Amino acid sequence: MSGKEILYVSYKDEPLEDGVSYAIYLAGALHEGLRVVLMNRDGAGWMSSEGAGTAKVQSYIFERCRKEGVKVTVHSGLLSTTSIVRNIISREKIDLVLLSPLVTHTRKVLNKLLKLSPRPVVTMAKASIQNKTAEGGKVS
Amino acid sequence: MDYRVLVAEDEEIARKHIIDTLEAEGYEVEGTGNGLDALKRIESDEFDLLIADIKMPGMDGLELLSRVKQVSPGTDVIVVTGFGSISSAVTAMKKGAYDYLPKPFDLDELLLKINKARDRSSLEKENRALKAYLNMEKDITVIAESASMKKVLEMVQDIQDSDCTVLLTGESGVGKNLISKVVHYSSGRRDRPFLSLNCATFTEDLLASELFGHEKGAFTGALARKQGLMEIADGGTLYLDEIAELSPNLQAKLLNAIEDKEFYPVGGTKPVRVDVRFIAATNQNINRAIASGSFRRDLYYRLNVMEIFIPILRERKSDIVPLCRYFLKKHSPGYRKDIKGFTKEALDILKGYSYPGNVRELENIIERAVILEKSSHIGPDSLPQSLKMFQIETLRPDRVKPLGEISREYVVSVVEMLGGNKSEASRLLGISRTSLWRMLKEE
Repeated sequence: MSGKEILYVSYKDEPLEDGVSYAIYLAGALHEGLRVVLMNRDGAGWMSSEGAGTAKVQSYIFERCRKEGVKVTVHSGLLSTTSIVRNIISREKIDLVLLSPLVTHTRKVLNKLLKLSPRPVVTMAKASIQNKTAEGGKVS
Repeated sequence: MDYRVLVAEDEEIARKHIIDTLEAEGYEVEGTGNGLDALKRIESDEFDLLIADIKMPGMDGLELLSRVKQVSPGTDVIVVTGFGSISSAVTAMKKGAYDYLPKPFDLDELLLKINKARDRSSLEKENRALKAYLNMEKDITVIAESASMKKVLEMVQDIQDSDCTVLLTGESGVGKNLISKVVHYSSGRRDRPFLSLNCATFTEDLLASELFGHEKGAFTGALARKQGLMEIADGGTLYLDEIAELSPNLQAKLLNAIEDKEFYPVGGTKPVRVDVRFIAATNQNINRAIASGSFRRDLYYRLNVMEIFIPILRERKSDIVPLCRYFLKKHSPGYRKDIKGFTKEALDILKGYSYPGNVRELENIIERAVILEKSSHIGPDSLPQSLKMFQIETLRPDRVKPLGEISREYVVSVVEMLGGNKSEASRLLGISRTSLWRMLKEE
């Protein structure tokens, strides 16, 4: 591990498989840790003690990361998303900021994060055409 | 204290005396009166030194010595023999004991032998590290099909006869480490050490000790003098990765070392002169760090005699396929695979992806594919599913322009295209002449 981390910003009610799987893949590929910020749609940060769904989402992320050998921290708090992200970037060794498909789609949040992040911001959008995974394709 | 001693002596009073003496000297000591117990402790824990009496219940000292050399070859053993027992002393030395001590012995004499063993052990560790550094892969391959990477190599070639400091910039994973080796091994210093240090992985105190070394007694636990990387790299090159993470104190110390070609080890009063070439690297926007005051401008100028920017992988797409083939060749033997190449579909996916983690990520993808692939060619199924599911784009904040700036640039270009005809420009742009005038005035 390099001690650096990927900061993944997502809405807490996004389909988890969508973005988390890529975030975990990328952290594993770069031998970096993962720091996850889950937020409400109104832009406020997520309180860890809120709701029954919270623990379920967290345990899902922890379990996936454990299987992949990726060190993970999930963030919660009462601050706004921008404040949380600014705070984390100033304190931790963040290599990349990765935005979930829905955050990417929300231009207002994307623009805010682009303004405050000194590190590259990686956006994700669902591929419009799924690549075929046919076997026995042409050989290059 | 990082030197651990186990005392295996069945005479309780003697054992206690030895332990007390060594603890007073700052050693971390444990004791046992049984040979078998001593072996169990060495099997389950790490000790630098074992002091073993020849006669002990459970297992005698010579048998213990043989077993310890099997399970923990790095543990030195001092055997305590009976008075005048030359033959057992010889046997002990033949079996690999570091030294022997005939009974009765003076505790000062024992202490002297232990200090010697510790100094030798520390020197051996340093030598091992140095050998590891020197034996680093010198067969360096740089894939440079793209014009931008060819330009990087041209720059390296331009400075091969120079000793100038070099600053390597570029995102994480682009290959700054690799290029630092190319700079060193293409220079006149190629037969001298090339050492590297990541400034982000140590605390300030540890980094100072790694870089400049320390004198004996400089701080708690500094039992012996330790050479820093700067001293070990004398005559060669020192590569400092993530230089922007250096603390202000160490920045000042490094600046002095570069300017004066000498430095003071931690706790030292005599300067050490060295001839070292520095290569530094960062993935940060160093100008921003200078503006915010977190990085010294004078150090930046010292390091940035030659700046080499290594482009991101998605901006040199023509390198992707050659890199894929190179990594396939590199990793296949390690996994005992005979994979010939890639299917077209797999290559299309690999060429279309944007690699936020750059070459490091691509290498990881290929290594993973080599492990998973069962046929003679890597196909799409062996690539991470995520690559196929998403369109990934990386935006660098310092490259993002405010919308207003882009709009103004576009307005200016339209006015220029129309030969300065503002009425026609405002009509085509769908804005009033006043708005157009205001935008042009915002220069």
